[in-house]
Amino acid sequence: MAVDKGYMSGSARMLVLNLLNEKSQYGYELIKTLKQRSNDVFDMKEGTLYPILHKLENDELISSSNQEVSGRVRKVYCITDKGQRVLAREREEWREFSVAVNQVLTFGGI
Amino acid sequence: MKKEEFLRTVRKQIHFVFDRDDVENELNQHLSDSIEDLMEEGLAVEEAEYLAVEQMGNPVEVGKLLNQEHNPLLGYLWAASRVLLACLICPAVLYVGVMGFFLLKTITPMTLKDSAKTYDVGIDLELPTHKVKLDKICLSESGRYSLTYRAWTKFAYSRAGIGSQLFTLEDDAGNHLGGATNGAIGNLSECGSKDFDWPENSVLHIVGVDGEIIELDLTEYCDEKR
Repeated sequence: MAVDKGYMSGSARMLVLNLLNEKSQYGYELIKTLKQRSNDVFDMKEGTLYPILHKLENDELISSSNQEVSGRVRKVYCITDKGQRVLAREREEWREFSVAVNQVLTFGGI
Repeated sequence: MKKEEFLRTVRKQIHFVFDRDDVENELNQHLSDSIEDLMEEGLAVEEAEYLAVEQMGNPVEVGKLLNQEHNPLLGYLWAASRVLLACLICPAVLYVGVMGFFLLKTITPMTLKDSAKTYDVGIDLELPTHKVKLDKICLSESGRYSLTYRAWTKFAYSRAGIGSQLFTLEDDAGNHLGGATNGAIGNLSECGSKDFDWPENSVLHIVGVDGEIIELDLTEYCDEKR
């Protein structure tokens, strides 16, 4: 099952921040982790990850540096302090939102 | 679509040219990783490349999204601020370096290399713009006399200007024997030497830029007599 684009773009920012909060990674690594974790539900077009990463970097939520990983120089991203604060807030918002959605959906007896 | 074509198309969408290489390198790395993994899964090179590019999405779309994050206006402002900063820092570093070099040079009195004999003078000259120390009279192997000096700019007059005369050397009849010039704009310190001809009656007049005259009987300092 593939997910509607609108859901994806809204939550991609939080998902990327969350993955980088666990471990600094480069773009391709992130895509692979994202696919594995979501059982291929988040099968986004890989190229669209980079505008998200560059936006997060412009907003100073993540930072990047060129590092040699398995024989190649790669642009590795890591989360900043500001990024961690934003992630914590967005997680909380997401939790409240999903609880509310679930409550409405289960009310009908689904 | 080939990898190169994908990368070229993305590049074209990014208007801030200075970021194009970085973006291309990053996407190129991604594609290379992707192709490698697909080949490990058993795909042929061409198939792997085709699929890897396919998974990236539409290059125009991706490029346009990237372009939004690589804003040319902000980018050029940023680049301009770097250039401006460099323009300010480079001369400042150079200035401090040059000034430091000259200050170090004026710690000790200067002796000319080809001196056969040197005589200590040790006279301070207080000029409106400079503090001058007349250090030594050096007699060269070829029989030329030179007065070595060190000068420090007073901060209030630190813009003494190019080639302003610190002092001139005359005999007691007012005939010019030589002069010391202050070389560069804003030099905090300098050292130098001025050649002079031995005055007829051995009396050297050091005429400061303010007109004050210090009379120097050379026979008191040098054992030479002419």
